[in-house]
Amino acid sequence: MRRRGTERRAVVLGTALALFLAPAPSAQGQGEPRPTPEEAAQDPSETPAQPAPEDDVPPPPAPHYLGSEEVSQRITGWLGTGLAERIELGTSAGGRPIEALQFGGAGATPLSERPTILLIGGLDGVSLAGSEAVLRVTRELLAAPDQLPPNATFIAVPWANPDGLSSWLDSFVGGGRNAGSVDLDHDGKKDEDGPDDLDGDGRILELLLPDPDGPWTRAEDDRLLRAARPGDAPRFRLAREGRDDDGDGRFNEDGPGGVVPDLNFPVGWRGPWTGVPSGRWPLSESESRSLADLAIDRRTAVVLLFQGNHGGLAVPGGLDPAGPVEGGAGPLALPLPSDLVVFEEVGRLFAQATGRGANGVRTLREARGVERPGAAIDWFYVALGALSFELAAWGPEVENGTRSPKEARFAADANLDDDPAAEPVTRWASATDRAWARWLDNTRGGVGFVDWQPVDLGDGRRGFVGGWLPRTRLNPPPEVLPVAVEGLADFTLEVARGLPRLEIELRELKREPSGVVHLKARIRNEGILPSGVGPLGDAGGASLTLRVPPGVQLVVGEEKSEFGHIAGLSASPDCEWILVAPEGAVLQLVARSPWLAPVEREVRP
Amino acid sequence: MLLAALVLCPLLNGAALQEENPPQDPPVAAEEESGEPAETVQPPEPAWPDYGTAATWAELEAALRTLANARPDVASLESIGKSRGGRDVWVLTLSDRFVGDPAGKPGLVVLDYHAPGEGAGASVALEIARLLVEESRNEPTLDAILQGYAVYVVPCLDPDLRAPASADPAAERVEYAGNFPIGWRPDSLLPGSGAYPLSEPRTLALAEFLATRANVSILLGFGGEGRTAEGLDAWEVPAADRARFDVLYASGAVVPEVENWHEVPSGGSPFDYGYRALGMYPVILAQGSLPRSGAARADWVRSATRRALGYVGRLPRVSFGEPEVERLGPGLWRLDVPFDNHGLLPTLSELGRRRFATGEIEISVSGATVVACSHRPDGVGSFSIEANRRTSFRVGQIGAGETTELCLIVEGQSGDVLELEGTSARGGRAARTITLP
Repeated sequence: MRRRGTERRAVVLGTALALFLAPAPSAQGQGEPRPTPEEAAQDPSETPAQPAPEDDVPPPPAPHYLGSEEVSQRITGWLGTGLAERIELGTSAGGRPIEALQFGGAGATPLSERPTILLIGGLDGVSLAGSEAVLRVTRELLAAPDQLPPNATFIAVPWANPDGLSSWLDSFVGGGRNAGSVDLDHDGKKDEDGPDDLDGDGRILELLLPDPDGPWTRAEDDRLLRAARPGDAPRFRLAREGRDDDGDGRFNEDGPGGVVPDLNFPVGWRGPWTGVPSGRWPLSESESRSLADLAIDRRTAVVLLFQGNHGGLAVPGGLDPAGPVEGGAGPLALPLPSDLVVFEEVGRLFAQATGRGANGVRTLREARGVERPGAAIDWFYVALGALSFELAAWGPEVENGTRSPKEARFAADANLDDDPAAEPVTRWASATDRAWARWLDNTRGGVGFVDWQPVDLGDGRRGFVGGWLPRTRLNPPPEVLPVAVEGLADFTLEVARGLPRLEIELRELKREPSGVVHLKARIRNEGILPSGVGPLGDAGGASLTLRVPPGVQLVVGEEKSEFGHIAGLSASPDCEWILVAPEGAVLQLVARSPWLAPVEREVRP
Repeated sequence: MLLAALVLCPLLNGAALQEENPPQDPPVAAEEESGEPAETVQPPEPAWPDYGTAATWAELEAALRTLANARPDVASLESIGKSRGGRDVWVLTLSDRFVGDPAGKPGLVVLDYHAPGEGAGASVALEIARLLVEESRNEPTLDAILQGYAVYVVPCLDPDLRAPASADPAAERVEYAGNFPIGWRPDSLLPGSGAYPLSEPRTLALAEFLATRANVSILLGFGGEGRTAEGLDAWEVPAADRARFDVLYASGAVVPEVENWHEVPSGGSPFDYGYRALGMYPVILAQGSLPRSGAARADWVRSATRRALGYVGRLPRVSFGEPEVERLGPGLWRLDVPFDNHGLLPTLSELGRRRFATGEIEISVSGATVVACSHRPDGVGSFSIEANRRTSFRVGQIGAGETTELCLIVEGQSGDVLELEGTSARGGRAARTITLP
């Protein structure tokens, strides 16, 4: 079933074209074919360019990012097919609905009882490409419902942070914060120093402020910055473009907006006094709390958080375990060593499905290059035991043949840095910055970066405005979206197919004439993925329970045996019991695990 | 002991405050207003809980209602939320409303959450409320507390624990003391912590309540079986706060002792949240010496009550000192006015200063044109100019027992009357009238 490489892409494209071009299944009324719900909900940004057969046929709309209304229409369209059900997640801080839907393959088990795969888009409020990815994945999965595994439920939340995404889509402000209001600089006022369009070009870019103590200096590539070292000059501070509206000497440090929901989760949470827009307490925001409650309510097995611009798959570990202690609780070392194998396995599935290089296991902090306190995937993993990832559809090596193994490219940079014959290391920007510069120069012809231009800040102060244009680094140009989301549906499907499937295997069952019964059984996991991940906690991992009916005496053995998590394609240790049972007695074995509904098997000795 | 504690704190900058907010007459009874004798059918008063044993939820609730009904001028009862079992989480606010809004006075929260067999915190909280309501008319120090301060009593954060049967067995799994945000650890690592911080209605209710009480400096609770989160690293406690903790926690021979909260890492407790997220000082009365029952238990409750009330006198409390007025020239004056904190606690903890720049003390002036304002913390160093031709300015925070010197340059004429008002979120409000000579 798995499709790989060119063949896979061809099939995907063929499926997409078939969806566009297939006639409606039934013509109604006067014979005028009505569009299928799928067609009605089609994403114009994914429409392949078709030559217009007639002059009066309008050209397809230009690729673009969907806004909240279009996303809502898309979801409504899917709900109309009868293949999906709406899930109520309430509203954002700004009163926008948080839309979600669930679906799954045909099967006897209700969707709410199956292991659940959460597909969350743009919780960080800036990753519009992540939202588009969830839409694309949902569309592809719903397009082939017979391919969906019967033992899994998908819940898609494409616009998980509607306030932040709306602000970013409309005007590139807010930094992903919801529509709440926060006193970020602790001066007793809220939202009083936000960005401004200093040079009147209609865009908010970045502002370089000359500062002898600033942390940045210009790199060899003078578009880029690098960390300043002693003796470097000139030095700069970096801010969003704008004035010092509140006159406190800082620029744009308290703009409009509230909390970034992705930083509002409990594990590794840092309070707002650290400068993180993290909320007054963990899960204080409706966006994050509704997701948390949903995940607690379900058998949440996998969380795929589509956001970021590292182009890969990041695993839990938003904080440096050796980093500073905040609030008394030191950061946890994530992921747990016992789970590395499964994270690596999923990484391989990702590489196979997308054609992107396998990076091994990169933590969230490593992938993003900065700490990510209070990250959602850390909580989903540690508190709920869900296999959790941040999946970045976009990255510097996603477009146009730059899908060679990422590590190799970065290693080349590292070699350059380490070569004593090369330029001094201090002249170079970070490897990530250089990767983006390469993408810009090699793929976009250098268009997408505004060179730093002097600007008057008043009171005799001057700064420089410039930086990356919108739809370059954080999100791809719209026309690149189809490339950025390619293969993600296949990956999601492969993960779903790999979910654990537990069976109770009878290893021995023998009844002697005296009525003594020897019973030996174990749990076998037929799935690729383990029966669970994360800390075991009180609930434990997988367990096997023998229910002893009245009239049967358990002589040797425990009624309940716990095994921890059972690895994929493996089995638990054997459990053995000796019982005294009358003829015709019926015993029952029950296998339990964190993600699955209990599995039962009758035993008639 | 109470007197000793209160002597440390001139209870009010009383004269000035009372000039600004003259006490009003207490509410008259219905029969006095109408002139007609009112039909008074008083329901029989429920028996007061016996401190020799732990009170039930019904007894506690009835006692709180009795106190609130007895003196609505000083006691108001509000529900801040519901338990999982649907029972109200009550807070009794004790403060004389005719001498100012309780939210504008230095505040102390008394909190208990233990099960009936785990201590006597609820009894102590109730006795504090009873003393302030019933004895304050006879005991001036108690009356002074009501006039100058706000005491919030939360005698039972978990009503279900004291009810006959808990409505939700799942609730019993989550331990109240581990479900608060700071230092919280997931249930999978520290069983009983809950799926996320504030997952319980009662903990969320308390967090909301505390977060909206900017006037509270001390969160007073009662010790129990400690929860120590494995893997917690050392707490960050600034040296200045350590010094305050040493003062607060010095027990001497007094019973009960006070726990050294800052030296025992726990994580996820309301005290962690109060100190680290809100800048409140935790005070935890140890219950190791609590007799199991009987008269000895009741004696312990009364002793603990006096000890708890003594902490009111340690709260920060601001006031203006004697001003010096100097004529600089025609129509131009210099006023030097000390602004004091009489409490044994600063107007904000050191950790709070680092974390929350908000809540600075604000000085406002009316009655003359202020040309320039400046202040010098603790009378040391040079003055810093804070405002020019403004009517209000901020002077940061004031340490325990310290003074900020205010220097005002004003334009006015002889006989003009200046009104100075100083407002500290945690140190209360002070006023001073100055007539230009």
